[in-house]
Amino acid sequence: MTRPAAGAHRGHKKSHRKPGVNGVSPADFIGKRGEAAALTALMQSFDGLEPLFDPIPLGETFATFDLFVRLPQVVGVYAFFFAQVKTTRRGVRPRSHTLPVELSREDVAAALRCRVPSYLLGVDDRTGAVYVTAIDRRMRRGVSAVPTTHPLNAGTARRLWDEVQSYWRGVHGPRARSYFSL
Amino acid sequence: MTELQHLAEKRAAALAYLALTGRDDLDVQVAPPAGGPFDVVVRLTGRRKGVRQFAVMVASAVEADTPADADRQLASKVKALAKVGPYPIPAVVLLFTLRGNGGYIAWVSEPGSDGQLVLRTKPAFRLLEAEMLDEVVQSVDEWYDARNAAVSMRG
Repeated sequence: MTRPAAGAHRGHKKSHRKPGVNGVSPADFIGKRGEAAALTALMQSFDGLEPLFDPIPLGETFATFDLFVRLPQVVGVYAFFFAQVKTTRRGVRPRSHTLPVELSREDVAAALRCRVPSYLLGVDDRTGAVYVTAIDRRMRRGVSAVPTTHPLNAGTARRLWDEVQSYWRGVHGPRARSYFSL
Repeated sequence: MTELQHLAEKRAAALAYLALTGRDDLDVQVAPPAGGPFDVVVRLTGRRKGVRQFAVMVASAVEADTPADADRQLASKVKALAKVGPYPIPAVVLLFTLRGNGGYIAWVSEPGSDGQLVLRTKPAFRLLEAEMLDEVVQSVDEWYDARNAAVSMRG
């Protein structure tokens, strides 16, 4: 299950709180809504074209990532990326234009060990907006907020698709800087 | 099932969850895959008396620009749902598409007067807006009020 972000649930393991709404703790409930928002944003059809991504929730057994995201339209190679979804109801900070969601140093280290494209999807549960940030070495100390520079829309979805499929085609090396880097 | 239908179905399920959990007085339980025609069972919570639930079937389409489009596309599905009925509780169909986050809603098992339920064989989709969901919840509430009034208690 998606782990909620700062303001909701700071831990990174399954919550042991008593069930609240919808059979889960309030914190896990926000996380579930965030994962649903990320799924809908990734699978949206822009400009009448087919969706670029097919996200598959990994459930609670896979600690490092929440989504395995396949690129169904890529031909010739099997292209995918992993995503960590962090959700908050605290909203975007107007001064810094950041969304307060946390990813610990340990979680970043675990993600980097996978050596495949990985992204943090920050979800603002108040608006449903999803913001994309690459999980790479620039994030190695962990983060307490992500920039709102890259909301998941038609343009960024295409850019993300290009970046991931380029990686799997060997166009870019694994250490290339991501367009979505901090 | 084509890839596009598969994606539309998954996206519809996620959008339905978001739409229903947007209200804090609804408890949303996703039904098991073999749980019959219902995809979701919604319980009305808060200061309400007794158990109050309604069922949701989630449908998907690649696109449906208007409620009339939705009616056309879901005509056979709603007819099939009516054949499986009658249902013991109110039930609606939610339809979502791959474009945008908006959706449509139509009654399948609609609360009528005196605690009756009316089985709809033809859809009459309306845009799923917050007010529309309010209306559905209110209808369900009133249906349970009427039904509960007929329940007598014995020691």
